[in-house]
Amino acid sequence: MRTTFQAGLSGLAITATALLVVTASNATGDPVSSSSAYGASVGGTPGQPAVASDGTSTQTGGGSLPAQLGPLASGGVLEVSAGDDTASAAVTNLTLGSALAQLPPEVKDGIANLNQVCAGLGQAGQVNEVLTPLNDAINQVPGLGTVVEVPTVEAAQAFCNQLVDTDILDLATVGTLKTQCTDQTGTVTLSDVEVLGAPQPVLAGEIAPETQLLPPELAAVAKITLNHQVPDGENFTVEGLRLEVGGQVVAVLASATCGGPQAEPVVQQAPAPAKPTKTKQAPKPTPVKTSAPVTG
Amino acid sequence: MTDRQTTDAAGSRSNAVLLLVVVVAVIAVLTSWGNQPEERADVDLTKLVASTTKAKLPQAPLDPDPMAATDGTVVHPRRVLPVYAAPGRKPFAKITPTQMGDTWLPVIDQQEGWTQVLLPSRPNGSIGWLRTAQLVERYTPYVVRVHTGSRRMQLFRDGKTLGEWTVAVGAPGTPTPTGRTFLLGSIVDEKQDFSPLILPLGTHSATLDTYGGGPGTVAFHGWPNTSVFGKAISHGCIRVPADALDQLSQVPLGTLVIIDQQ
Repeated sequence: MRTTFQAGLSGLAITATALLVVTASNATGDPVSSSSAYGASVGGTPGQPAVASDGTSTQTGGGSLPAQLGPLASGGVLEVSAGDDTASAAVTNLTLGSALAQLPPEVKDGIANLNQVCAGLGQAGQVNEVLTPLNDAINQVPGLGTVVEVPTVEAAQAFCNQLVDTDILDLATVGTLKTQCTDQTGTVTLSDVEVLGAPQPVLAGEIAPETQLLPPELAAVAKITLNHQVPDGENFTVEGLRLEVGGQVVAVLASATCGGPQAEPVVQQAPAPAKPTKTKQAPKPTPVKTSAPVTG
Repeated sequence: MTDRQTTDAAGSRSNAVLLLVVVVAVIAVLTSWGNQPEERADVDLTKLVASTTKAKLPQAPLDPDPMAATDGTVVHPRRVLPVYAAPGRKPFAKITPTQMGDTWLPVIDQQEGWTQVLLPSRPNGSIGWLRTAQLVERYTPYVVRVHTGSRRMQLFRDGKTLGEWTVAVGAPGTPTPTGRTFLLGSIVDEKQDFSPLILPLGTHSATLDTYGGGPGTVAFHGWPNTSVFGKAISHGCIRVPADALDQLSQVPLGTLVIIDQQ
């Protein structure tokens, strides 16, 4: 599946922040700079919803998360805003991992088993009766055993308390993920984070740039970066959450781009065509060496 | 946040649970990215026939308007996708991202979340619906028209004629099938040395179930002897002059080819 998935993505241009950034002057003659923002980009597609401003006025927009993000995130409401050298994109009421029911059977079974072991934890007397089955259960969830271990009974109880007491289908909720840029600086803030129903104050507040959510051992497979910052000449982009799989960006949430103080004269942002992708022409075919008998 | 060596117990628990979340999320994305829930629930892709030039799809709906032009939209499936007779119905086939090179199909209709395409399988004129979310959408400015009666072929770009040639078409017993189809592939086939390049179409001979070991696929290709042009002489294929083949080689796959009897 992973190979198919990665192959399916090959050839797709990575769309981060391709919106044109220019500067203009406001009514008082002070120089202004453009900016842009979008809510979510999936699989290299242009971010949606998107707004762009030439700096003379503030543009705002909103929408909901694309359905394709299903297994990763859902339910979020997106708000984007772009003005004079400042832009923001926010996702509120985000639920992560909500599509657990759609996971492959081995993952689902593994988590169900984990829940069962946790439920029986109260009856266990000996340390080994607690830790061995729990760690075995953790190891049965593909990928989980390499990053999670429960070394003590206290850790086991804490882990299980959170797991059992909550709706497993909503692994984590985020009140707000907000990205903001001003000139050449950017911030990403999280608020009201709950993991398995338990508030996580440690995860709230401003997130340091380039915060990696996955351990380095998984980097070759997948990376989730919070507060990814991309300086690009006069432009500066900050992405709230960036998911890369196999070295390719597959999703970006809450991206904001600010223009620099000096740039070319005003260029009007072209209105989005009804079908923007159609402006891109299909590729000229590359002949393939194969045998396919035809009627001659 | 991923420092597992921290001695802070609360921090460790947060880390462990957070990692559970993200690992599960990544596994979910890796294994089921882009699938629609109903697809996962209902569709076993391994049991579906791939819509290729070799396939016969008796359940496929037929093109309701076989002489109509389209707006030039073509699509490429990002992964193996189910093909549906109608949005929300049970799928009757699947389409793969590559068959003769990348798969590109012409779009004949679109509804919210769904895209209707021409298919390259028998019966001629087979069509089906795909989920738009899993398609790369592009545009081709070209259209090719073949007139079997006058043995002429026209290549249009943005509605303007780029070229017009006299070609060879199917003989009376093995006529070139009419209707709209599309450029399916661009191949170099050492076993078929009559042309340096062969451009198979999505349509098939109506009179030959098989030909040369293949499923009777109709194609554009060149021919060593120019005396054939202007004649109804082939087994269904459209033999074109070298200049025409050269220009056709630039045309994106998925481009509409409309064949009539004029």
